[in-house]
Amino acid sequence: MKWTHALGLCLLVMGALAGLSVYRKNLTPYISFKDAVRSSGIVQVHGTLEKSFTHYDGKELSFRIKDEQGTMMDVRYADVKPGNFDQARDIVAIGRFESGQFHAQKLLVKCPSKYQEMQRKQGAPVPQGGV
Amino acid sequence: MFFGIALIWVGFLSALGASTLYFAVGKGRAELLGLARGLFALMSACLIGSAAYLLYLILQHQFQVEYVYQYSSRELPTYYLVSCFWGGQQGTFLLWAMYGGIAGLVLMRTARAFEGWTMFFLGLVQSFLLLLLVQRNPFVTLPNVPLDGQGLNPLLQDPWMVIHPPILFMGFTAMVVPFVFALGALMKNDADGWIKPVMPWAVFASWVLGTGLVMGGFWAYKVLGWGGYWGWDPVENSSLIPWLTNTALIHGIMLQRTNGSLKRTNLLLGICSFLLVVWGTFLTRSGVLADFSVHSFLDLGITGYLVAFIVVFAAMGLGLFFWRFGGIKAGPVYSTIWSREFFVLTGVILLGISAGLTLLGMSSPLISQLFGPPSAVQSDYYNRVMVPVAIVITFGMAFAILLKWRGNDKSVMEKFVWPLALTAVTTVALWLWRVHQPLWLLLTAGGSFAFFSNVWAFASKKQKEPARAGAYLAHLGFGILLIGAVVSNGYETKEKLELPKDQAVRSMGYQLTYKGILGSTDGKSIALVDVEQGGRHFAARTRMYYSSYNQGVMRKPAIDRGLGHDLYIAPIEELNPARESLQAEMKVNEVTDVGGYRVRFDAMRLENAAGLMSGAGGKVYADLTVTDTQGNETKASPALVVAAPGQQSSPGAMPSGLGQVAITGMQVNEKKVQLSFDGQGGMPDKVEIRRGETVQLGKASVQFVDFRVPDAGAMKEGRPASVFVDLIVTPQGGKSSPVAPSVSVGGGAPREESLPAKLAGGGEVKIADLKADDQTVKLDWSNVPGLHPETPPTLAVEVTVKPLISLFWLGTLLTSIGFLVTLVRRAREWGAARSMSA
Repeated sequence: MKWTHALGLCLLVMGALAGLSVYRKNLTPYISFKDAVRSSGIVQVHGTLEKSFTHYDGKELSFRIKDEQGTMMDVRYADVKPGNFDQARDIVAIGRFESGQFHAQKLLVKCPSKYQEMQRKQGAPVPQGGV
Repeated sequence: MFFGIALIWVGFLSALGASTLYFAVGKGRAELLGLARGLFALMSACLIGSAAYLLYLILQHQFQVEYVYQYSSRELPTYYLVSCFWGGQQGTFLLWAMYGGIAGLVLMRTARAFEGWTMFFLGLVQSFLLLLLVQRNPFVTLPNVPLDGQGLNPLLQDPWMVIHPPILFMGFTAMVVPFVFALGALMKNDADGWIKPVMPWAVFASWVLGTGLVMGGFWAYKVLGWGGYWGWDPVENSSLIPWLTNTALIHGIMLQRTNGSLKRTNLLLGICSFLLVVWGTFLTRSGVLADFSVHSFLDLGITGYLVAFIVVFAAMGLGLFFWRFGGIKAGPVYSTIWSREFFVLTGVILLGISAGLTLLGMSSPLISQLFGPPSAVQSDYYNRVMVPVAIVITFGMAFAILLKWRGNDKSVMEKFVWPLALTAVTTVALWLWRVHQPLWLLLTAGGSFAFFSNVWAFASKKQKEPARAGAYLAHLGFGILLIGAVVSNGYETKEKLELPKDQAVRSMGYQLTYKGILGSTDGKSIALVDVEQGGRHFAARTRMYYSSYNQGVMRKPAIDRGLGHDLYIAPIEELNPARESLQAEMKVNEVTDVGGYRVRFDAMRLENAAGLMSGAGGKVYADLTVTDTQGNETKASPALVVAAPGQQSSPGAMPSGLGQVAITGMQVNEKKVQLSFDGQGGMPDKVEIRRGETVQLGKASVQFVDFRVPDAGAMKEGRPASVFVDLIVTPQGGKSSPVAPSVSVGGGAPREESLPAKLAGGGEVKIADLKADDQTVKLDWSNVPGLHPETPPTLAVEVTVKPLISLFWLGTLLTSIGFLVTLVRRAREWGAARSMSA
């Protein structure tokens, strides 16, 4: 083996190790509210929006979500309210839990899609109804 | 529609037939070639035909076709109707399959010795795509004929979105050609002969896919308003990864041509790019990433097919590869480090590594599930790992072009002098300006080095043939693209501002004045901001509107483009405290105090109630008694006029030979409907039927079952809705079938006009909103002078100055042109080789 090969291999291995460590640091696990409260890192949670707890003052959005186990969590998002937030049914929040609240850095808003509703009612794309 | 479904089926069967025959041709049965070509051409014709037919159905508003109903609507202009074609999954797969058919037509004329095997594999890929289309046929019809479609996502209503998807899919499809060539080479056990014919295809694939990616980025920058053009989203990554591996293949082929090295690597790269396209399609289309991406992916129930698609072709490709692996002998890549070979090899390796790193990040939610909770990676991961890789790539691009093939050039050092000197000057200038982060500074240095080296290398050539300028252009373009990306992202300045109407606000050297909301003919209102800098004015027309399709507020930025920097103004929202406080909601018989007035809501009065219900239009009055501070009583009756100018009748198709039936009028309260037929089959011109009645007309009996409003809520709220008239038609001696003509009410935007009522003390009151069910009105008092202190409406915006972003776009343009020039050169080369051998 030539010294260049050895050097190249060495660099590649070092690069791979560095890459893996960055990768692990940036992983945001998708976890339950209970685990999110205990976790110190950046995580991803998913819950149904509890409409009546939403508050937005133009600078910060706060709202409450409920997960499948029925656990509630208050979320703060210090940014512009997403355009389709008012129609949202489910919210995916990415951030960390700190001093009693979930501080979201990013929100994914899940709206009930007309199209999905229709797909569910296979074979009856136009639902029945009277005047 | 039967015709379309039949075309897809014929296409599917002929694809199977063609690949079977081509298998035999590959095995040496040359006499079957004519038939194989014929069948493949038939498949291509079916695909082109069905694509044209789907487009025709969209343009003709044939909403009985489910796909047309789901992704288009009447209000769209023609050019956006075209983009409805790829609004949904089935359309994109049809587009993909059609491109595959066209690629096959070119391939069968040019592949020569490789025709049998390449076309066999292409036929297999086409069969899979067509099987998918058979299962999720875009021509499936609905039981009823809706009046209007659901429309196209307004985000996609942009000129760039008309051309971006078809170009991107062309790139995806083109990746299949290196794949089938690599497999063909493995079948023929000929690891050398495939690289010349595949070269133009590989360059074409990278060119088209890269151009498509850039267009997508440009669209995101212009429309989405978050200020960037690349977000490391799975959708973007799934196109970037095959671009990286395919571009690695192009460089690998260069090395193989030069010294017969990298034969196995090239075969593997050729196989991988297509498999990665399919993998990306699987990730983004199957719904597995739905909780990890801003794009909301729908599971159309094709996950199983896509998995089978990947497994079959991965097993086939990699199986063949490892079967032949041991028998392929290749020479060493380079003899000295100071040679072009070494640095091109570096490029191949680094392109492969970048593809791997992106793949790892994109597939993270799936991979991490093997070890614990599913985890996505944040975009910071990509930025961190790709910057070092990109730095090495840029230096490699510079060294590769300055050094010679086989190296050993005595005068090599002097070639480095000028490019290095110019790079040093640029880097110092950038550092002095503000680029201090070491890795970013290094990346801009690498970008400038790549730029100056390629300019220098081309300028110092003795013969400057434009036809050979492709690689130089692509590389120098890539260099400045990176400089633009680093500077515009890393060193932008951003500020959130609140702009009170008509008051100038200073920020970052600009003077911004909010001028108010303007209506727009397309219903997407404009929030106008006047921007002034040194006497130059720019009218920033940011857009903010509610989209019923997306069920949310859409915001579109305004961009003042410049060579030095872009000014990017993204609207956030209009805060209008005055309007809010001057609106009061009241129920019937309620009394409220508004300012100095005491208001009693006496009654809600409907004019033409039947018309209101049926959508023909009508008027709603709110009868008020207003008492001012002096005790003077006035009656005021503001009104809301509901008109339905957009009312449209959609005929229903009668059983064969009986033509069509249309609604000409209806009285819902009296349970009557007036129908008209188009005269075929002895049907009368006009008839009135009551609900439940059956009448004998011409050659059929017609029963009027009932009115039907699928979206009754919409009608009550005054949003557009359709009223269907359900008929059962029984032709003489035939079977009964349901027919449902309909009228749309409100079609498009609800057309309501608020008529204000004058008050005795001056000013006027109008209805802002009403809920007929609850007997509630929302009244607007903002036109009563002196009622409240004036608070101007305020527009909240985010203003960003993005330095040197023009370099990024210029770089992408030059790179794209570079690929095109190379494509022409390589295609000519293969053309010349073919005519030599012929």
